[in-house]
Amino acid sequence: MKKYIVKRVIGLIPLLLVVSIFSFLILQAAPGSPIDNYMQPGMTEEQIEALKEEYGLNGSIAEQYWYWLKHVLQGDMGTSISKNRPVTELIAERLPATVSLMGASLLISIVCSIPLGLIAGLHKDRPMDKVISTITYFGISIPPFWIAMISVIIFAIKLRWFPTGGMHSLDVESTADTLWHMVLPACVLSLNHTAVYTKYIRSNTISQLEEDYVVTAVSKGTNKNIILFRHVLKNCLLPIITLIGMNIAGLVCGSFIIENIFSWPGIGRLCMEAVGGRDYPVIMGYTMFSCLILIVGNLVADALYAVADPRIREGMGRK
Amino acid sequence: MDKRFQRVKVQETNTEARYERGLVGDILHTLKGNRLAMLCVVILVIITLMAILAPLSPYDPDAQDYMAILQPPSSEHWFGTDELGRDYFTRALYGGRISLTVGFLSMLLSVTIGTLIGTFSGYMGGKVDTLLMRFTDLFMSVPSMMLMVVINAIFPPKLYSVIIILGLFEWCQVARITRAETLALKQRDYVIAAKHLGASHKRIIFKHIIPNMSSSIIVAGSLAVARAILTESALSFLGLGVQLPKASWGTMLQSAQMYMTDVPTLAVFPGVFIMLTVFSFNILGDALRVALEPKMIK
Repeated sequence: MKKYIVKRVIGLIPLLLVVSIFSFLILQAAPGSPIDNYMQPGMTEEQIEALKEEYGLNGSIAEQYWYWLKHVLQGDMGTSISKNRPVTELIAERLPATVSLMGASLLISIVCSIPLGLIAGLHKDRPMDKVISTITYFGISIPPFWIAMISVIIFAIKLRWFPTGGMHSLDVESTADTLWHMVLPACVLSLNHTAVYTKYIRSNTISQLEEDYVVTAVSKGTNKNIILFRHVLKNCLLPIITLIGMNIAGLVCGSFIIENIFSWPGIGRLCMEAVGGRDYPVIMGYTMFSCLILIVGNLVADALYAVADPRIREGMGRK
Repeated sequence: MDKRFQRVKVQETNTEARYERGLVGDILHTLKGNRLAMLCVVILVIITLMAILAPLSPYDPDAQDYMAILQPPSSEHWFGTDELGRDYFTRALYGGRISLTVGFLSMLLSVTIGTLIGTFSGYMGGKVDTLLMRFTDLFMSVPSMMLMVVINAIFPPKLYSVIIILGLFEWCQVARITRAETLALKQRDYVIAAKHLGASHKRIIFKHIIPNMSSSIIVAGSLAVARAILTESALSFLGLGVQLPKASWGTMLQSAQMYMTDVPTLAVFPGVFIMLTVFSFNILGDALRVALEPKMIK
């Protein structure tokens, strides 16, 4: 299993490299040279040269990239122009908010999609299935930012059940308060994923029910619930782990939008503030970091899959 | 056993019937059998017609009327008016023009790129195939929406650049589908026969392989339009997509965000349009997939 995970880690390195090259090129192509950020009026040519030397901005693009990459690998993503603080520090400060939002929404998605998918699959082509399937289509088709706006209008402005945004009430620092603030954003963020998972579990249930082992179990007179929960559910859930891994990209992008609508103080909001202020180091830092979340998420999903699937677990153990 | 033979026979008659109907006839036949899909076609036709016929509206989408700002829906202004007193219904029609244009053009781009890469990769096989598919997988796992945000944040987006960027990030799925189809098709007798008759690779790809995947390409295209419209609206909503004075549905929602408390209707209408359009394309794509994929015939 170790071997399997190591193989996956190596496979993900190219992705990080491509994204880093992309980020770097964008930074290069951005209007104005990065050196402008450090220059002060009335600097002499020599001083500017010295500055370039200091920030690794002299030399070819490849050299500059290498210099930048070295620093990124050491955890130095540059300094925010508008906030004048290290980007890594800013991101580290905001990261818990984003991760907890994503975690909560993932939890909601999983909890809701499993029963929905199973019920739809069991009632294939019957009214129950049609209703659930149509709802899932809506879940996939509704723009998340729009449903966020609508839920703010209904639940926060009209009904006043939940706050319109933010993570804490003024001067309140309690878990309950944070959770209360999290309800709307987490639910909205989970909507799309719930729909995707439900669709997947439904089709998986249908195909599992046609398998020979189910037919055998039925003909042996096994209790229907035992078949469903012991056999079908188990085989349906395994691929879900991979699906979650694949959908982390969607979660990262989704949280970017949702954080901005609900003023959730996560890294997505940080990035949007940076976009407004043309704070390129922060934008790049965010891009790199989101990819990191993506990769770590994928890895965790893969590792879980390896743990859960005896074929991989034991196959690797034998070698 | 009898049952299995019967199934094969039904499949054969189905295939024959489909052959007789042709691709267009086959699509129409599918729609006739699926009421929800038919409804979606009707919705799409209506929305497209509304967008095309937008100039027939008595209002100018950009005419400002400061005496009538932020009005609720009325018989005069069906969707009310926005913060500058412009007729919101007319603006929604013109917004539809932009959203649909972006959706369709970027779909054409992504389907073209995807089909070319997928077919080439599948046809060549071997190392080229491995390399191209690795590249596709890589592209697929990149969080595209975020990269689009970054690109658009640094280079002020224009309408055409939004279309191109969407197209460039959405081709991967099409490439995967077409590659799989090509792998199957190139084993077919008629392709092998064409090869032995001395047909060039170009001719085989464009005359024999691509036309035979048209149903898969149509399905992928329908789903790609849905994705493109959804992504465009999100980008525009963040202020990183279609820029004012041109307004897509997403751009309209961005401005509506400021008046959520007082005039919630401004936030409702463009979103309903986006949802209906995307919903219809999704349903249509899936309905066609079930109908056109031979293995799914039961």
